[in-house]
Amino acid sequence: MANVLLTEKCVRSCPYCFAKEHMDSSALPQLSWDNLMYIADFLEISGERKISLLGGEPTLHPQFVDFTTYLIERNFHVHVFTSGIMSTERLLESQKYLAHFTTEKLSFTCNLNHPDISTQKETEKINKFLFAFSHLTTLGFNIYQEDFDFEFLIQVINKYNLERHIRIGLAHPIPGEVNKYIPVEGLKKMARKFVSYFDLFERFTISPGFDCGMPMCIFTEKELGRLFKLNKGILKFGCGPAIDIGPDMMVWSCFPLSNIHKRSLYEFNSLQEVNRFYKDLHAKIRNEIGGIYTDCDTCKYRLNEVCMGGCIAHILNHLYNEAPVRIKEIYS
Amino acid sequence: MTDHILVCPFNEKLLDKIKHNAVIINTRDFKNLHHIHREVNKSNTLHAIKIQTETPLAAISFQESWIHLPLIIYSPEFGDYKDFSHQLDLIRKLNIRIFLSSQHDFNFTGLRILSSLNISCGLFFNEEPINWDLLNDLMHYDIYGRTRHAPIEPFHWLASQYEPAGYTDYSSVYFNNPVKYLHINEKEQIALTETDLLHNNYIDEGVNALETIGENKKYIDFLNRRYEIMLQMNECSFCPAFRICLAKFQNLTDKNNTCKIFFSDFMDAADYYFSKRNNTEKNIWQL
Repeated sequence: MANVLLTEKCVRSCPYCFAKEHMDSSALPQLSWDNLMYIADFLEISGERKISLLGGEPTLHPQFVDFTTYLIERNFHVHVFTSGIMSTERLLESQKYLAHFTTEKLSFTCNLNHPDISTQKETEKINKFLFAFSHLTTLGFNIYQEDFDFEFLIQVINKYNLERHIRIGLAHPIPGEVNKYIPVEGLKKMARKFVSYFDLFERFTISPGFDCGMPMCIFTEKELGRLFKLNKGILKFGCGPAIDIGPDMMVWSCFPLSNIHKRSLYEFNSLQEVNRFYKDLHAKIRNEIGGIYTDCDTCKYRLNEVCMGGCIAHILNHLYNEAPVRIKEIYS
Repeated sequence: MTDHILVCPFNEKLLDKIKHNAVIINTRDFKNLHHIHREVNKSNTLHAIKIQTETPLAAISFQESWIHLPLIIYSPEFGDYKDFSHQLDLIRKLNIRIFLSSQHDFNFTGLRILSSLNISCGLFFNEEPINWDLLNDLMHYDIYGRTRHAPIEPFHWLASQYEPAGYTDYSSVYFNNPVKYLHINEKEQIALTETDLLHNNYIDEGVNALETIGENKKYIDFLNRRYEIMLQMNECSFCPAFRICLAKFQNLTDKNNTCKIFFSDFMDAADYYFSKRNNTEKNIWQL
């Protein structure tokens, strides 16, 4: 699957935003029709039928609806990552042209922040979006500090009858930059807080699925068992190259790493080639340091790829700060 | 009866006079398409109905009842994709080819959109300057594009008809090749091309003249002189791509940065397409 950035503008300014570095630096603000069609052809040639649209806030792109319907017409499954915050005009337009699709063609992940850090106006807009697109939407939440609250997410799921799933992301460090994230030594504490919601998840039959970069060993065997059951057997502790394509046709693997190993999409003939390139690069880094913990180097679960040893951005961040000469060698 | 396909307006008297011919009807509105289809087929064979509209493509209301009509739409611009997208399923069912003007840059993108959505389409040129880079990109997409897509004219036609040893005239795409098409108006005035008809440049008059058009002096002159420009000392006659361009852009002052580059690339593409067309036999090493 490839993630395509429609625009680099955003309506929010989240303290943890691991995309911030990229948003601030790029010159081209939004994807053109011609680039979209090139990407669609590129993915089709690669045999890939899934595409994620993100940003910034993808719905800010003036052709958001056009692009989405075009891609669906090209037989792609389109997944949109949104804050749900959009103008009334865009919401009405989206409702008119997109709301009739089923989840086989189109789905949304609405990334929510805790109401305490959202304005009243933002919350109202999000509610309108959730009301209109409840049948296509799953919630997403990014954990960026050891203490956090999930209860409001459960209330939102119940209120709008959303899919009973929460996509849980971990905020990651941007190597060489400043953003909010949980340091490696705080992850176990974060896990305790997370586990404290298991009863609630079970009661409301909600599956908490992990996005990338979550290490397995922050949970006990018993907790892993409960997680396994909560997620109906689908449990991932991965950190694979997620391929992001920018509006300027630059490609990189994962937002936090966007400022260190960008390439042009035109350098590759297929998505498989892109994946191979970044997989090799990740392997090179992980040969240097296996994972976020010292034990990761010899951990059988990491070696068997049951767990990838946490987010590679932590490793790069460490190298960036502690061994800048070595990072230059890796990328030379 | 003539071997030519006749291009004419919808006029029942005229159609009655040119019985038993293949006919292309020129019209400007969408109202009478069924009536045209029915009436033409009474005594002639309807080859196609060419609708020249001022309405942007996306604003045209396509009809389910057009399914069996052979249609060509000439529209000045693509319009808003959203308005167009909800009609896609219907358009794909129609016997239709959509042409957009080279006047607007977005039309080049529009044609790529149509092609990628499996709708046969093409570009028509008007008197506005052409964006040669965009034209070249579109040609590359049509000929070299690796994903499934519908033909874009005139590229597809030219590439599929191209013979390296001869001339290929893509005017046929616009019904302006007098070897195959002739234009006739209500007054029964006959011209070689649509432009000639508009400029009162007739070769003959009266439907009876169609029977003996092969003996018409102006027609014979045209056949004899159509490649004459290649014998003159001018830039076109030295251009490597003259065999497919046939000096259609001889009035351009700066050919080196415009048509010459494009048609040279286009000829490479036509050669590539030709070799692809003819190299279907697999050569296996011999024992």
